[in-house]
Amino acid sequence: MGAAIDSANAAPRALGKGEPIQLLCFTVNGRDYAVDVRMVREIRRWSDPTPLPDAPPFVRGVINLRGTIIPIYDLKERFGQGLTVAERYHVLIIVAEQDKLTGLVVDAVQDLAEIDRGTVQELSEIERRDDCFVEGVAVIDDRVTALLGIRSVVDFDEEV
Amino acid sequence: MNDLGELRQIYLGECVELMQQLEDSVATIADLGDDAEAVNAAFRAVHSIKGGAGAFGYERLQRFAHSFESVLGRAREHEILLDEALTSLLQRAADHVADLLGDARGELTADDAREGILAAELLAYLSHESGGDGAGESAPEDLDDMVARLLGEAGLDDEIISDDDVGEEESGEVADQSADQPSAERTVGITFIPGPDLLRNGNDPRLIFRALDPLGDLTIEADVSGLEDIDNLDPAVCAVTWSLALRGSASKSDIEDVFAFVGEDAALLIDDPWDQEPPAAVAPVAPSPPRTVPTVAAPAPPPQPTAATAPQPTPAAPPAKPAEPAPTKATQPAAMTLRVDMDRVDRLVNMVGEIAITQSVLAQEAGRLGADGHEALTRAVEELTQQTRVLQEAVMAIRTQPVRAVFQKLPRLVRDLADKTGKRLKLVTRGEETEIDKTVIERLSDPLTHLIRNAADHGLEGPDERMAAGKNPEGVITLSAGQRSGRILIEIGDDGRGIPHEKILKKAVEKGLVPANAQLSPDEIVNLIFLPGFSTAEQVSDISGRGVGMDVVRQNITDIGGRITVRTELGRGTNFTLALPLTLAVMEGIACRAGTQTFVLPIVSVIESIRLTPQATHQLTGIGDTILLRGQTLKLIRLRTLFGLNGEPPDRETVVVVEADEGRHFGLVVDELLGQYQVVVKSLERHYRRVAGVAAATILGDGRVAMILDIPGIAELERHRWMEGRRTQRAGGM
Amino acid sequence: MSSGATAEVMLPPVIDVTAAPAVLESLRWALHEQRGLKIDGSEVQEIGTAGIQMLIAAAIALEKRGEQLELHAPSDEILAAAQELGLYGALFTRAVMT
Repeated sequence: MGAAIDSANAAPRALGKGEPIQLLCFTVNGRDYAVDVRMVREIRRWSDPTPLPDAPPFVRGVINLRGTIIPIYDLKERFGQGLTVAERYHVLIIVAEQDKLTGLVVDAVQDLAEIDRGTVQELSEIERRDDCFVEGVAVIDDRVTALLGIRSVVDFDEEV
Repeated sequence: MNDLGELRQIYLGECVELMQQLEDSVATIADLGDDAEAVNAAFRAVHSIKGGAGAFGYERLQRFAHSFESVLGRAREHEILLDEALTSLLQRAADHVADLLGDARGELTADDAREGILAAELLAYLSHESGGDGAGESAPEDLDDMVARLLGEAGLDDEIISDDDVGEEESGEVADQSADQPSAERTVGITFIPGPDLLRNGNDPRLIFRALDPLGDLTIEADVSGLEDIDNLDPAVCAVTWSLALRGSASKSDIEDVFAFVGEDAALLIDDPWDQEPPAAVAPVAPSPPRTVPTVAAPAPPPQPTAATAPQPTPAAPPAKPAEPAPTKATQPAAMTLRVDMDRVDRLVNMVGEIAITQSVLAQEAGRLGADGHEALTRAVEELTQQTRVLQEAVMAIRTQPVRAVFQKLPRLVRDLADKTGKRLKLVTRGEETEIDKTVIERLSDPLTHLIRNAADHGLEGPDERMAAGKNPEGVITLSAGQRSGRILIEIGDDGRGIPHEKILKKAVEKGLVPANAQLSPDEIVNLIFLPGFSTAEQVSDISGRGVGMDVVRQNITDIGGRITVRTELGRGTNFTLALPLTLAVMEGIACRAGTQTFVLPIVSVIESIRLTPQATHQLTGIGDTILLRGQTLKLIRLRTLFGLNGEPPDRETVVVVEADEGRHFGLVVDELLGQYQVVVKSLERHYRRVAGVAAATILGDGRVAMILDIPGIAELERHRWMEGRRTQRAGGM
Repeated sequence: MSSGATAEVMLPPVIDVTAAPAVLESLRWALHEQRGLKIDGSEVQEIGTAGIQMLIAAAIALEKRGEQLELHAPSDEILAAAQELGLYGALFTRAVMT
């Protein structure tokens, strides 16, 4: 499986309220998440990454994506919920953020959903806590879905 | 699509090459003095820059280039003496042209005050009487004639000037003949008949006429009889023809230059009364050979695909000129070149890289099948291997450029540094023609700049101190490039103070970078300056900046797969050597296995390998595991331990002796060696970040990713871990 | 003889070699419909030889049938372009400016 999603190359521009956004919904450890579909480049089947020395546990390694080396982040571990015991049915969502590609390990991809920008609830400072990877919350198909901020996922300080 | 915008981009692109030509020529003049070829080349470059500047409305640039060109013209005709003062002016004027071009690109680099000073200096040379070298004994002119002549030269005919208007320029091109040219006028008839491709190739007559306008009084007559049939009119084909009359003293070559972009896309007839009757007063100085447009336009032959425009297939042909005098090729014909989008080259390089990987898989499988019964296959695979190698080399050659591209802006840097520091500095370069991969070149710029800044700031002494030390008051920075045993070597040296070893060692120990009792050779000591957190600068000067230490420089170099080492001698100077790979994209490496992973060692770092017997290992305090190799103690670093790899080590491991820095070897312990391979280098940082001890990655034949190790980085990492370990030990208390 | 109302063609802001064919089509259509032709040039920001020559061709075609091209509110760019190409006279002796 290597379905490529045709999305614009530019970074998503700021949207006004009332404009529809398209989201790709997926699950990690039983919970629902979504990302702006314009950031998604591809969805792939799980493949064993080559581990990187000294990397934090949520960086599982790197893979070869048609000649390009990209890192694979384990979202479950990133959220502090433990390492994904990767099975063949696990899925990699390849996202692009500011020209950098990253692969995210998720349990399963659900579908695409279109919602109104205005219905997204931004998290207030208080609510942020550890879930700072989440930029907002929306209800999709009666499920509370967290919108993921890619930059915060890939941003981490290295301790050498 | 913005035709004007595209043409402008083409022009600006051409100016990059013209600037290079100008700077090279001026540098030659500085080195060799009055070199006719160099002066001529400089003249032509400024001339071409000026021409386009007019068409695109860069008035300041046009005016300045005009004065500059005039001075070069006089120098060329030996009317003014090309002494040190003039040479210095030429250098500074060339620098300013570069700044004005920067302005044209929107960079805001040009300094108004500086321009005023330079313009005045240039003008002084234009009103200078001929120097004492006996060129052109003109009859004494009376005052009126002299004023007319001076005004004509400065392009200020018929203009009432005030003192502040010096440098203002109207029409009235200074003919590129000698100063004896009378500023007489005549009317040149120009017949311009566009061909079917003129508009499609981005040449709009509007721009052409606009560029002609400053050359004199222009009258345009259009013939619209071709527009009678609107039903059969092709919107992309120009159906109008023109007859123009240009009254002025502009030279025919200047007029021809305006049409230089047109090439074969139009029929052009220039009827110049001056062709029959060469201006009389020029007799003492030989009339310049009729300038064939190809030579002037050589830097900018338009019918070539360029990156800025959509690809337009145009014939690369010299401009069509009727009644052209027999080609007196005053200069060598320009080499056939092609400007290609860098992206396309990169894609080509990548594809060839992929082919190389596939070919190596094929070779592996063919090897596994064995030659028996598969002779044809084996032969074909062998040929393919050879052909792939040749293909890779050929493609790599497309991406190489002479290192001059990086060196060329350094003389200016040194001049600026000399100004800022008040020291006398000289830059000597050698080996600029050495070819390097373009991607390497781009990443060389920063480290070279920094090293030169360092030399100017710290390494070299001021003139007084130098003379007191019995040295020439002018400090010399030497920059040389060459190729040796598959690597590019670039050396930056100065003949300054040198770096005192004791000071380095003391500082390193103070900062906890080495243990106090460490035994290090002088070379090892000096290379300590590359450690992170190290800086010998007593004060932070605003030239070298704060905190951009040698470790960053070394990082820059190792990032491109190279190595940097330093030698220094107190009182004599310091010398940095950069060893760089020939290309970034492909590398020879030794593959090895540690744990379940495959790693690649760059072959430039590998000295030898030996099988390790457990008994051979000795533990030495303060160092760790070692073995004895031909009587020398070799420190061991276990890749498994360093990278935290799983699994049990084999009974017999392999030690690869590698070189981290000049003279510093260690033994890298791996499970086994897998063979020598040519690998395609893939960036890890492009989509992730840099990883300590890893230079890059590569893709193996089976599609898996393998890390290419950074040997100095591994030594660094190990040392760092060890220091950390000691710190926690001490902190833990005992 | 023109029948009916005058055709109005609004010139786009950019008329270069790429945009020219479309504009030419509008002009040809208007001429074939045998109506008068009024060209509105108020929006033109960029025009080169291709564009100017089309306007003149249209003016010539109308002149042949005894009519006159109406050029409404030509932008400064149109005027400058015609001037620089030496086609100012060719255009404005045949067209009436409104």
